[in-house]
Amino acid sequence: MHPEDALVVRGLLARDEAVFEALVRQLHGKLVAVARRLLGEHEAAEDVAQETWRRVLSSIATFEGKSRLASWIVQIAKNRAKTRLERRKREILIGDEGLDPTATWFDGFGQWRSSPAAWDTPESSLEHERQKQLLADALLTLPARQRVVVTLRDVEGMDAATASETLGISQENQRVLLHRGRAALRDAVAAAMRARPS
Amino acid sequence: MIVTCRDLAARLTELEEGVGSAVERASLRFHLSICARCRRYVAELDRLKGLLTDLGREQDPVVPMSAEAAPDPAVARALSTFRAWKTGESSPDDD
Ligand SMILES: [Zn+2]
Repeated sequence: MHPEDALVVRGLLARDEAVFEALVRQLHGKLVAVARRLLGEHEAAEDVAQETWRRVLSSIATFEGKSRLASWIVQIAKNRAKTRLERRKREILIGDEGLDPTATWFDGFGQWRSSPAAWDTPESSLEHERQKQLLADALLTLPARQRVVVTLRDVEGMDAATASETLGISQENQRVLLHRGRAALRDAVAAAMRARPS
Repeated sequence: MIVTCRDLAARLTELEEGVGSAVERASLRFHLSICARCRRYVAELDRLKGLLTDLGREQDPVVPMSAEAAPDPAVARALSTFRAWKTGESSPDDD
């Protein structure tokens, strides 16, 4: 086990409230943000984060340190968010498929109106972080169905069949949502990069 | 089967998931082999997918800039869970 994690685990097992509070302050915002990708609504995500803390406390004695403590906690939050998504998909998958952002990309002959510009691999890791941050924000602005499909498939790496099954939608519908969601994210990133003189 | 750039963009997820007839997939691949713009689009998407994968890294997930530090009521709620656990009054998990 990582030495820092070992200290925290020892503190928790000793029922040290200050150790727990520090952990909550460090990770709570991340747990909420991760849950929001799947659940949208802030309150549901907050509930998942709170459930996660309860679970962390009740099972901290079983933490073996195979991964870092933070990973273990984030994984608990993701699992709980997925469970909640499956149980309440009718409330969460609200709205329709959302617009097809690619409708404006092509002319009457089905040709690109303007050429895609292969995004440069950012020169600095700072720029790389900025792009990821931008995507994290843009993801939350997608229509619910697109957001959830892109999160399961591209962020969480779930395969197409499992994602369709989890959401109770056809694989074809899943593909449409994935296509539209990715296209919308592409537009969002391109717009942000244009807006900023490089 | 004539494939336009619009068709290619629309059917890329099918190609990725191995759906559709062999002829359809071959037509899409042929279009890619002759169309530099669509190849650039595919490169863009690959990069997008790579960034999305990075967002999910478990130890340190990338969260929106708008994500706040834990607000005090949330911390207070977690701490009350902690106190119940400490005194052994922890409610059983709700699942
Ligand atoms: Zn093309």
